[in-house]
Amino acid sequence: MAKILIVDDSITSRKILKNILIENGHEVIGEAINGKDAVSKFKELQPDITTMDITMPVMDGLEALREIREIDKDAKVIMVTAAGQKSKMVDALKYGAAEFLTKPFEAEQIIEIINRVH
Amino acid sequence: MFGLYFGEYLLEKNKISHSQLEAIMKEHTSRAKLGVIAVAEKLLTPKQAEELNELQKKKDSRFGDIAIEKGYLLAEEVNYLLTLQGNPYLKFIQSLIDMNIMNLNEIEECIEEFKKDYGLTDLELNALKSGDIDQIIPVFIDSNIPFADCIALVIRNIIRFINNNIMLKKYYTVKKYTFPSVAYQQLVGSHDLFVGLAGEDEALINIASPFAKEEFKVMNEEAFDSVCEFLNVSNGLYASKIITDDIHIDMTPPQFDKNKTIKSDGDIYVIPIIINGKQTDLLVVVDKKVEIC
Repeated sequence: MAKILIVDDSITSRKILKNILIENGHEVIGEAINGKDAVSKFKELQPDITTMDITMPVMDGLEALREIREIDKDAKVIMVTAAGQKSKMVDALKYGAAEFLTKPFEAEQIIEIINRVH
Repeated sequence: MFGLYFGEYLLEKNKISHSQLEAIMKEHTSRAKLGVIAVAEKLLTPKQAEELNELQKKKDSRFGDIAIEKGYLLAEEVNYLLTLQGNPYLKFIQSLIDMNIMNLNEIEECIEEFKKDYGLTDLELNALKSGDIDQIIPVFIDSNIPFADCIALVIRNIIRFINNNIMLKKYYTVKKYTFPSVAYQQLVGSHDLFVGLAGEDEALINIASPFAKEEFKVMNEEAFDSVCEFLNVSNGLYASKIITDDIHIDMTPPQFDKNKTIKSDGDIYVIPIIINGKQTDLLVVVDKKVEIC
């Protein structure tokens, strides 16, 4: 079981992901609605894994990934992208993303990736 | 899907009542009978089908066997007709007959009038009858309009994630579009696209609820978020499709708005989509500035 922080500006997306994670025995310890919120919740909650949407207002997922990896160089951050954001995926790899999840969410894919990263 | 089109037409022409149409759509006849299919496929005349039905009442044989015996159909034709028993269009016609609303002759006449009134070619009518969305989309959306494949993908995704029984109407273009509610997303890059879903709240709820798997009563912030996220997913799938053609687009965060007007120097393509009887308009603008005021 992993302690997970979900970061996504969409409440729909957060709910779908949260349900899948809980149904598969993981613990969702917090949710953040943008990159800035994510950095602050990461410091506070110290999750095993953070799932991070890329396209968000205020501070996007790439910037938040960079800041989180500066705070903890071993932080495990899984980037969540809508399909088709390949250039951003390359940037995310440079900043140390552990893995990628693509929308639309598929439970099997999510659990496989979470288990691989954990 | 054809049932929706033909049903609406029969309503307009006062050939059927609202309650009858609702009953047909709810009834879900499991499959169409061979006689009905053979007439619809023009392999038998209504008179021949009637004759075979009468014979079947007297003999302990299957309709197809009697048709072959009488020399009306070949065994191969019977086999082909059997493959069509689950076709939604034929099931709709079967329900009209079973509920004594119309007989086969009357249905055939109405379909001819429907075809004429809607200006449909035989090919387009067959596309509607097929129930195959890939064949239906080109009937309503000119494949030459820019980014028609983006429009087609949103429609396919509505069928995939929202509701598989939708009805399209012919697209049109405007320079100004006033909406009660809209969820939209701008895509920027090799091309700039504006993609939106607009309509009355009760229409957008028909998208919000199934996508979020949550029953929304009003179009609140969460319901809008669900429609926005649907657009985000659909546009993401499109962006990943066109990247193979070396077209790169980035998605900006989706947004929503109420009671305003969208203006553009270019054409705003409006594609009406009926879901659960309520109309949502898919709005697309390509490579032109869009202003919401």
